[in-house]
Amino acid sequence: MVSADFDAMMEDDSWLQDSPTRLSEPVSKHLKKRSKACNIDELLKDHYKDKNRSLDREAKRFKTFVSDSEDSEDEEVQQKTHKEVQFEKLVETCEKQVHAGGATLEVPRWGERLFSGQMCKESPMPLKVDNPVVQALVTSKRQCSYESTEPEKEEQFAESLVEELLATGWFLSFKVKLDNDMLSWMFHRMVFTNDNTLEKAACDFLCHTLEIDFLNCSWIPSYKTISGIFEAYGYARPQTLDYHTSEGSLNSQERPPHNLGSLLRLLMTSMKQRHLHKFHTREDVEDIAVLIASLSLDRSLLCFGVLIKESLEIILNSLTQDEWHISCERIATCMAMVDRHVVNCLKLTRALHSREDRMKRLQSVLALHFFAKIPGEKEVSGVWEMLSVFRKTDVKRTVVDFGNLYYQMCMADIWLWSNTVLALDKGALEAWLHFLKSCSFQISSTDWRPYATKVRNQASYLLQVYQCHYPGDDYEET
Amino acid sequence: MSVLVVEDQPDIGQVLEDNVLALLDTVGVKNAEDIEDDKMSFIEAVYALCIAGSQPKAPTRNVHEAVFHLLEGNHSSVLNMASYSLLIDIAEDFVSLLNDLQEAFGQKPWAQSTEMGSIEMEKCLSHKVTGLILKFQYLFKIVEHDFQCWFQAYKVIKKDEIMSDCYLLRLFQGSNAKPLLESVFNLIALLSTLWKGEDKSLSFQELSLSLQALVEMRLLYDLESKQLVHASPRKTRVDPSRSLNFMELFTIAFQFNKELLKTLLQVMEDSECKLKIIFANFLKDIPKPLAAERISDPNNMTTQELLDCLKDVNSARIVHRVSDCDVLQVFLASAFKADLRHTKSHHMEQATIELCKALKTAFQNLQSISKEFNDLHPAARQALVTAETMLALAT
Repeated sequence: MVSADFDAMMEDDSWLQDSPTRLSEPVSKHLKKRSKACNIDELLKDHYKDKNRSLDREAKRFKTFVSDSEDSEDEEVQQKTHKEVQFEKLVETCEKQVHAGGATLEVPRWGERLFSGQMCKESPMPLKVDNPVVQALVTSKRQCSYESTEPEKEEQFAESLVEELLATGWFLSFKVKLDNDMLSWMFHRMVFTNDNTLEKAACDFLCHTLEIDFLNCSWIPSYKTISGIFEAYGYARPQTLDYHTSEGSLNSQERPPHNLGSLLRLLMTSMKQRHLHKFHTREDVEDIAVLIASLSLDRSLLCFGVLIKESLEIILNSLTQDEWHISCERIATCMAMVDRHVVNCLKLTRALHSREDRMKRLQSVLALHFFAKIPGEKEVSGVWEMLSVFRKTDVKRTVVDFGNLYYQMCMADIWLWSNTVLALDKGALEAWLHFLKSCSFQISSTDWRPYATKVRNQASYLLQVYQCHYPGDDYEET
Repeated sequence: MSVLVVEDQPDIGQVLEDNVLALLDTVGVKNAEDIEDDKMSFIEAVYALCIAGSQPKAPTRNVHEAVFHLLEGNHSSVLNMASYSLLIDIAEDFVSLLNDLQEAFGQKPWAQSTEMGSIEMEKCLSHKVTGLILKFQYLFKIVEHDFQCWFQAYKVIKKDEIMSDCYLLRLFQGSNAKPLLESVFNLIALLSTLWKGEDKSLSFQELSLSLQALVEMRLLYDLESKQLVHASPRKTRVDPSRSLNFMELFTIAFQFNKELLKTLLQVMEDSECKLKIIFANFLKDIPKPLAAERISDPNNMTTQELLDCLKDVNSARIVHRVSDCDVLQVFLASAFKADLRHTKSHHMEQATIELCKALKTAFQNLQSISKEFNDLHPAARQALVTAETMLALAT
């Protein structure tokens, strides 16, 4: 039907002729409509005028809350200032709260400046020229260089000759035994010279000497000598300095000299041989260990990081088994005694991460010491005492020191992780997981209190770790 | 210290991997310090899981790679140091990333480092340089570790096949061995000059030493396997990996670059390796009849024999004619130094005295035939002073 109509329409071509008239009609209609539309525009204008008036009214009402009104009207000024004052007060108190939170939220960066940058002038140590080896060297040198040497001072001539041969490594090939005076002089040069090559070569030679001739040990640096050298480098007791040291602010003047690396290397070699030469007493080794461990907190010594850790491992391993039983606790106590910011305590404990058993043990003991030291706690010695500290904490209360809680949690983690105590005591494990869960679930992720989210995140991470490590029981019931 | 047993180490597992890697997630964190803190917590967490504790477990491959990327990313010196130290600990306890890196890098670390000229290095920020150095140091360390493990096994089992998986041997084989070796030598020389020039916390020197150690290890294998071949004459098949003798490579590398050779001889540490290089190059230079007369076995030459080639004026003249004045002096001095260093005895023996005398005679002969030798090279002068002193103290 439709197609038939359509065909009929196509056959009837009258519409072709009609089209001009048909077109003219709508145009006139359209023009009429336009004149009408003009009227509607006017109407609309009127309508919007009314509406704008009401909008203005609303805007004015709104502007009383917002201070930046441009066209203020006299009668509203009084009301506005009153409300403004109220609002400003509110903003002020909020700001105060936010800043109070923000100040403690800013986690201090770890680091202690151990070296003040004031190098003491080294005490001069002359080479003894009446030494037969030195005499022979000087004579040979005069023979070999055919040009007549100017009558310079014998001492200077000898010193520069020995330095030259030392720096180029000839003493390693020298089949003549050197006496203690000469070795002490070389050690002194190694520690105080500015010349990299000489320092490194002297270190190589002295280490080599220590390895082959450990009985002749009176030149080996004692703890007293080492701490003397540290003082000469500008070492200062950490508690007298401020905690906040930024990496960028350190210039080369404030760094200890690079000779420290050689000193550590030599110390390592001497400690490896300790069972043979027995030069350092147990107390000496303890003091050295405490001193070396503290170096890992100085950001300017980062380049020595691996070396510091390695030497600490060797120092601890140089103690005999009997000595170690006493020393481990003493070293940890000494390290914990120094007054440090808690962020540095954590860093120091973590710096003891190692594959060596003794370092692991020391780290564990130190973590326990620091756990107890964090304000408000008495001595803590066992897992239940530790857990009872956490049990007292209710994270929902408004007055909770989340900062302390965070560091306590980290220290507890280090201690528990290095122990088998949780594997042996299921109850303790459940209590620990319960605590972690309460931190993880009861603190909201938008909690504005300082350190709260840090505690929450750490707790939920630890929860996963401990649940994976001690699989088995359904912990959901706890 | 064995790489052969690490395959079965249990790793930390999927759940912990996800949790640990989540620490690196930087979505929503804008503060650069916070991002660094997060990366640090990641490293601490991996330390706690894989190194610390009573039962450390191996990191999964993803975690391991993430740690390496932190070192590679070269963000700050704190992170560089921490990630480097962690990677070394992981490599010691578990397995290194060597096999993964090998595919990714090929020869890139070597080529990359030579491309980086000294000027460019100077321009870099200090922590950027330290980061690069640590990265290469790590690569060298794991290559060294890998070699040591295979080599220990090889010494026990005494079968060449076991060394075919060793990265170092695979690196120095085939047609690329020669250019590679040359670039390594250039790098050693560059590093040692950099180290001497500037106070750059010793790292350049350490790097140069590690690189030397690698070359020396490769040589060690050659020496060891040569002994084995001598011990078992049945073996006739030539291993393709060793068709090019490493010592031959040395001589080819130095034939036209005596300056580099001079520098290297003065910075190289290992005396055995040094002696081998000197002997090979010396033999190549001097006329065959003289060598046949003074040297009994070219494969087992001694320093005494080297000095004997100059023990009279005539032979000294022949040697002088074919060799460069400075290079000859450095050869003699370095051989003397290395030989004394190499002998285990710590006292003066008759052989030492003979050696000192031979060195003295050699230089006297050289000085008598040419005025070039009146102003001695510093190394030669030091050698003479040492020899004179030892002779004076011996009598």
